[in-house]
Amino acid sequence: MTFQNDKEEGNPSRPVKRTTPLMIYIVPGKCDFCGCCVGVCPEDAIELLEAEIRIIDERCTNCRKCVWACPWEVIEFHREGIEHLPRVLSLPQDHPPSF
Amino acid sequence: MKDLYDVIVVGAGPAGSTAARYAAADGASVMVLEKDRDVGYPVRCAEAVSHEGVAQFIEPDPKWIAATVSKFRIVVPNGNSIVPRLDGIGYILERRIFDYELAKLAVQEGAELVTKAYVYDLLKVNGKIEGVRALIKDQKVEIRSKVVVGADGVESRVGKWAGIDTTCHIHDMESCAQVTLSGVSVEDGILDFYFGEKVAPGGYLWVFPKGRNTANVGIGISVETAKERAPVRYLEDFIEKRYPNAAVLTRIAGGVPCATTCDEIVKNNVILVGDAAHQVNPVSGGGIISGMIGGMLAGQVAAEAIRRNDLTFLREYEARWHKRLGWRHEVFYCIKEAIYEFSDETLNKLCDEARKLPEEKRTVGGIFRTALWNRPSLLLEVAKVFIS
Repeated sequence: MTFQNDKEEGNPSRPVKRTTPLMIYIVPGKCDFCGCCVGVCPEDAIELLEAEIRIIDERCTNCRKCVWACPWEVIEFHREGIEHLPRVLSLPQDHPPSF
Repeated sequence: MKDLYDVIVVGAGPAGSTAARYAAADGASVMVLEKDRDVGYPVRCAEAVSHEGVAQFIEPDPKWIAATVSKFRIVVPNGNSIVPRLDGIGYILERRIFDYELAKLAVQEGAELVTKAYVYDLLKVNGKIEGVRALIKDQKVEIRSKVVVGADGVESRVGKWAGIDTTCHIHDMESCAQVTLSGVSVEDGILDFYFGEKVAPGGYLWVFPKGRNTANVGIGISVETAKERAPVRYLEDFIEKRYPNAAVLTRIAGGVPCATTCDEIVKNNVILVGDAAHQVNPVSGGGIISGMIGGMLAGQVAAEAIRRNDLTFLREYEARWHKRLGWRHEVFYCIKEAIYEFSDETLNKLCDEARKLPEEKRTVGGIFRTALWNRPSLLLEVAKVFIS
């Protein structure tokens, strides 16, 4: 479901024109959803629900403030882009759950 | 749920619930929307408040007080410490119960409250803000209101959507990590603050006793310094050294905007309270009581604006906040800027000087005067606030 707010109306930050790929990566399964990254994001480019977080690709400028702000090192900067990185947490294959 | 309220409050923390309580008490119809499924959980707080602060709003009750404290101790890098004389007592709260009680007070005054209600935008009609857009039970809904109170915490997105720059500068944002430890031997009744470049550069580390060998142990450091090394690393070092065998009951992250109040806290029928407005004591990072004061003032002004049928009256909130606490936070901000620049050597020296003070003069003020003596430029910085 898409439920993004409308950035054009009344939002102080300018629309972003980024030509590079998204380089900000939130390591799946590690976030505590505390909001520290959202508080320093100058572009309002992070959507944070009770237990869901995502970078809003079309707003992010790869400025890295969220990477620095994260108390638990959950947000990483990858210069080569994040396309190849896993989006969801996967359990280790060699140790299947025993139930 | 109605389709039109006088006031919608986004966020049911202490500031939001207090805004709702006072707005409802003064006759406004109020809806509180909380993004999480529980009010008061997860806790993102070191949980210390003064008796004096909290008692203005609610009768202290053992069910949300984990421990009572009467002293605090500042530990400097060489291990020496100073215990300033303090009048009055403080509490370590159980926030998950405390926040519940504050929400109940709002509901008793007639406010409605819905949890797991995620506000993702403001409702704008011809450029005018007329409520919020939210996800409730996976349904997109529009709820209309005359006033929107942004009590959405450190994220502070409601303000951004209203055109207020609420982004916290990385220098002022404290990146925090905390664990609640059990099975630790800590001295009850005393709050410990550790300062120094090795322990907590650009911030401090705290140990707050919660009774029965339990304590909140946490750290907050400026994002500017957290860039080099994350707070969780410093916390791990400290725990490894001090409490290697403790059980970790909870582990939380958080952000505290240790800045002065946002330049605007009222705009386009939106008013901001609590962390969302940066209503935090910049020295201590404490924001429960100041957020509740902001909430009270906002709730009262919103209800009066509704009663007068004049939303331009909302501006009054800004004036009342600055008169009550905003100006003081500006002074505290200058003090914070000075303290966090002290080198380890200066901190050690200050502690030595303060320990020479006779006990009756070993007050916060006395120690501050000693600090001024060591760093006269601090006096100028503080004076600037009063002159401007």
